[in-house]
Amino acid sequence: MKKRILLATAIIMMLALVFSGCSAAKQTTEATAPAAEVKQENLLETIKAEGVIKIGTEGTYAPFTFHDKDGKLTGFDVEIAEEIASRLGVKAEFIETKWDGMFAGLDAKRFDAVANQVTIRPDRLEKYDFSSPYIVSKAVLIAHSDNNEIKAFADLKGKKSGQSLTSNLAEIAKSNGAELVQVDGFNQALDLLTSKRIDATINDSLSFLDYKTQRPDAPIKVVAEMDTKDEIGILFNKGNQELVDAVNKALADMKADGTYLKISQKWFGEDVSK
Amino acid sequence: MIKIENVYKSFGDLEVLKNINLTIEAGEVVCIIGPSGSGKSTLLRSLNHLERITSGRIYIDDELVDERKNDKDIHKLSPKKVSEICSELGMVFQRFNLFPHMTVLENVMLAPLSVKKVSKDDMLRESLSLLEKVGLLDKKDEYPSKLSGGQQQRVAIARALAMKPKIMLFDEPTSALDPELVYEVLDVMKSLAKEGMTMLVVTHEMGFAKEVADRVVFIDNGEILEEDTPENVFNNPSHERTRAFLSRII
Amino acid sequence: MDDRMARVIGILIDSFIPILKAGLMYTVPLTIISFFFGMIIAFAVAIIRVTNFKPLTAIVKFYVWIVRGTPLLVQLFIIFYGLPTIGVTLDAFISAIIGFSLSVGAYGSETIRAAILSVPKGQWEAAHALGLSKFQALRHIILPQAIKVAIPPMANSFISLVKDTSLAAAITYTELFQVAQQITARTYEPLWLYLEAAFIYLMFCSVLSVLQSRLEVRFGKSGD
Repeated sequence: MKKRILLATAIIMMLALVFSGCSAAKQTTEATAPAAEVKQENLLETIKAEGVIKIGTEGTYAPFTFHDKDGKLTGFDVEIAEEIASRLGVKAEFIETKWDGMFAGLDAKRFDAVANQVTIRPDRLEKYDFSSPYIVSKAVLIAHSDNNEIKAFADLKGKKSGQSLTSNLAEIAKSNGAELVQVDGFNQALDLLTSKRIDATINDSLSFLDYKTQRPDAPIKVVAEMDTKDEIGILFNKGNQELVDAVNKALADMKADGTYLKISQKWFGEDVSK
Repeated sequence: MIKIENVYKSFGDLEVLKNINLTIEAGEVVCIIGPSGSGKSTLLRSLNHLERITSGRIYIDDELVDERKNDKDIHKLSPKKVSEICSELGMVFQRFNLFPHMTVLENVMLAPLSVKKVSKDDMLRESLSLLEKVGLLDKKDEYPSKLSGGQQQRVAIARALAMKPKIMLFDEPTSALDPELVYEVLDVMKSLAKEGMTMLVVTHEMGFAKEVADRVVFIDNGEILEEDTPENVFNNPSHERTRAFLSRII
Repeated sequence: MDDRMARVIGILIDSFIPILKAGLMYTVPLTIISFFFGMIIAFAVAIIRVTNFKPLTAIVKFYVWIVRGTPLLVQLFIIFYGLPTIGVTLDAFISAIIGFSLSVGAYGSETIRAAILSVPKGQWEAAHALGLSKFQALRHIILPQAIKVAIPPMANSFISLVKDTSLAAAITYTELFQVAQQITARTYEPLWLYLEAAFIYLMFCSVLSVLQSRLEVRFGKSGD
């Protein structure tokens, strides 16, 4: 009896291992790089040889990178990345990563680039490379509908603002004297806001629009807009100039032949490159 | 059979055995008596290394099985050798120590099958006859928790005998039993003695000692104070402390 | 308000199967495999500790100390994001299994060690007196009795692990909770979706609790 239980357990274990190994292999990074015949193949060549460009993205940031009703990964950033990939002659493979692991993942070369509304900033430029901007972001200050105290960014002084750590928006909040409350994402920030645990949150005007579309009844409002706009680009590790150049060319071509505008209109009804 | 030479045992500062010298011949039944804490159990347990002596020598069957000085081995034994020695010495504990997750029969068969690698069929036959000898054949498929104390101890004796030891060591085998169950265990021990088994018994059962022992050894405070036939020890003890001890018991 | 509730109910109904499916395909296998390897490690470590096997005791103590003393999330990060810097790049599934197995192994080893220590000394003595080696004693006498004692805390460990696997999303392994988060990102109804995810976790864990009871009955057979 004991032996049979042991055997059954072992078989179940084996099946589980095989089954999950198969399904997991589909959604995870390849561990091995192809044998480089050429000594120092640059990243662009490697990507072209493999036929795949790996892109890190969150998959939980609507409308830029998220899963639609059928569970398919989509969004503005995703479609831009897919278009760039096809112009490079390769397929885009998205590695869904939490924001906290995004930079670590790029450092560890688990993906070749990041397409996730990454703002181009001087401190980031010191360590990484960016493509030319593919969207312009307007930061907006969002508060609870009942809140009449916060009317401008300067009103953030001493107030609690929910932001993702290391995000550009967190910097804006900090520079205005806000007390940062760390959140995992836009959703959490809004939850904290509607339950009045925080006073405000700064996020992208487009994300806010998307939220309001889904939740028209939500008790939040935009109280201020940044005058300056932030530029957002695709993020790369330094030392891959060929790849950056190729991506920039693809972006330029997309803008020139109207493909960019089409994607922009589809998601936002306007040209978001300005 | 057993030769204990100049054995000392200390637990830290506490000296529990002081210069013990004792010889047990084959076929002898020797009973060790004495007050609690006198070191009698410690002496017994030193034979199969459940306790390690501080210094001295122990011979079993004329073979040196332990030689130590200042708590260090002079003569070192491999674990395999220790296991062999234990096979020669059967031990019965005060609290039986039967294996609760195994039936009576499994308890008896385990050691020979694992250690001596006897064939299962041979062992089965022998185990059943051992259980019959201690009068518990009908309980062979029971678990120990279903047996009385006397029954458990008899199983323990059968389990120890299964390894065909040359010497049987009993560490206060009836001390944990209700009085009315003591006799059934003593009966088994008596029949063992009659068959010529060499036995070293630490006990408080003076009646048993009187009836069966070839020699009685009185240990007090770590020293052997008295060593003689039962008649002499019980009727004519030479030591004052022996007299005092006996008067308290009998 | 009714519109909202209708919308929420719709979301919950649509999302139930995807979340459940992710649980069955990703959360459950990760849990089972990690626990399996974790238990092997736990037993090995516990036995090394209890028998005081000189060459390995120090290494094993160090392992338990490090793994118990650092957050599981950090361990996963180090395996997934840190190792590549020394040339070891493992995929998310393998990294997760390694991380969770090591964790289960460390905590589990203490449980098993305690269970072994709870077996009365007399059992060891009887085994020794019969000539059994330490390992024979462990195998036939001590471990069977220790396992009985170890079942409730180990089942606890297993049930905890089911939920700990949600950390794997941090190293790109998309399991049950991550799918719930994906749907949340699109629908902005975190509370309801997390409740639904919690319900599905509860379903899995309830099955495990029943299994635990069955195991306790089976191992308690020797009449108590």
